[in-house]
Amino acid sequence: MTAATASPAPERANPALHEFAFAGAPERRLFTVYRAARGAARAAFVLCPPFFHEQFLSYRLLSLVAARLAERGIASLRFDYYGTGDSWGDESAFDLDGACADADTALAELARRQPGVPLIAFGARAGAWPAARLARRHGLPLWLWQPLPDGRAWLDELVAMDARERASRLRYPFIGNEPKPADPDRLLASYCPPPLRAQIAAQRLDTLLADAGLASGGLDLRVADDERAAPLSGARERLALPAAATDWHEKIDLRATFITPPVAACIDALAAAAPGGAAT
Amino acid sequence: MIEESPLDFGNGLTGVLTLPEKPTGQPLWVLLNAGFIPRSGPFRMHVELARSLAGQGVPVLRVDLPGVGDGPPKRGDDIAVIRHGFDRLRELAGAQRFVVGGLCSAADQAWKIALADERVCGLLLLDPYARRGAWFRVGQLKILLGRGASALATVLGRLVRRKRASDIEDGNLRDWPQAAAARVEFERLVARGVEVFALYTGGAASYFTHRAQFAATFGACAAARCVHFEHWPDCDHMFMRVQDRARLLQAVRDWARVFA
Repeated sequence: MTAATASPAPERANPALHEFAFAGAPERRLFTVYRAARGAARAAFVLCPPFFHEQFLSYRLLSLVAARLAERGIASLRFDYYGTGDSWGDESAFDLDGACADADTALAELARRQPGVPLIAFGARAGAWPAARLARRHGLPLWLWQPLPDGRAWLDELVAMDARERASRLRYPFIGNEPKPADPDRLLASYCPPPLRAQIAAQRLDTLLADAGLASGGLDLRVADDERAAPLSGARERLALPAAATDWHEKIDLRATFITPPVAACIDALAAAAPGGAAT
Repeated sequence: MIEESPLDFGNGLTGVLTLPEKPTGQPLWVLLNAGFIPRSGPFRMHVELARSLAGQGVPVLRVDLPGVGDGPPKRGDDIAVIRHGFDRLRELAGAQRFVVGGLCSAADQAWKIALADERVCGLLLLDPYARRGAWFRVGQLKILLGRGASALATVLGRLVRRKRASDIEDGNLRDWPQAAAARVEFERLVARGVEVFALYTGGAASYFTHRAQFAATFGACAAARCVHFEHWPDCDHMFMRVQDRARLLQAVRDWARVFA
């Protein structure tokens, strides 16, 4: 379905309602942002962020999504995977297995902060992969934001983008006619050696969702995606994001991020689908 | 072992404070957002810089200003928000002096903060303001010559057709002073003994293409002992290549020793 347009809600003025903290074992400390719900929480989600440069490109957007959901009674815990963002660890420590383990750590932290509240796994872009595994392991509803259906296809996009940037005269005006050399261990500045590329290439969202019980009707899946994207079959709800709100990952340079009324409507529809919401 | 603490100043400024193992009395660094990029910096540059500097005894705060990252909506004057942050950092961490800066818009803001607040003793300016002038044209010519005959032909063709350049330039998008004011302001900072690290990358080639522009922009003070200037034409604006980030880290670490 396409969510109806809603006017943007004013963001919460009281900054004390979100809280930064490190969580997890001392040798694998994760940076987390816990956002309390306005009033008593009726649900809470853990958000698995995108990978690589898409993490910082999406950061404001996902912060605003969490803020709006908090206004509607849904608490959240966002986190950075070990070796990424503000978490501890060198970037070479990041891999898919670690990301999944970190999602478990974040879920445990959220459950500690919000005991007795229904939990939701939420993944954005490549974060859909650890989020789907989290949903399967813990039997949680799953929300996805612009999920990546095919790791191989995404890897190919990154390789092409990396080549474009290395040859870009806007980025490197002094390079003459020779592009900057490729680095087999990096893609668009991020550490991505061959073993990690192989892990990414093996990711298929449909397989992950089937494992999580989508085919048997055991998975409550809600997807907010580009209105032009092919729908994920089996989702209970598909929320169409306008194309202008979904192209943030296509360039390295970050623009200002706003929650426009159509995007706000999608967030509100997710809120309505959470336990205790109007759609439940 | 260095320590990190998330901080919320309650006035719109949030961030992560990285502290060295033992207090060293060095000024506290405040890394401002590069445009809309959150506090971790482009490709995690601020995280690496903060932890690396803390390893040599320098406390560092990487922040989200209003409207960026986890910051609240932008409502007013960021300069006032940051100066209030200085007050809180004095209470929380005993900081009396500050080094402020960062990339692009962060450099623009740091410049204004340094002028407004004498607690600022150092400026880290990555792709800051510069005046174009004649040397800029010389640099442009050098770029074109590096691209060979076909590029030259394209440019000459444009000149013949007198195609107008876009009116939207860095000066429109950035918070820059007027040329005459910039020189006077720089003289004030130098007279105060503010240590300045000014680095221009190749990514700033829309307004900075030749190292002689620095002296042409800021005058005699550009050669002052407290001013450290570099031009890295091979590096892009966001330090995308790991080699460029490593080079930056080393250069900033070396410069930081002036405060020890």
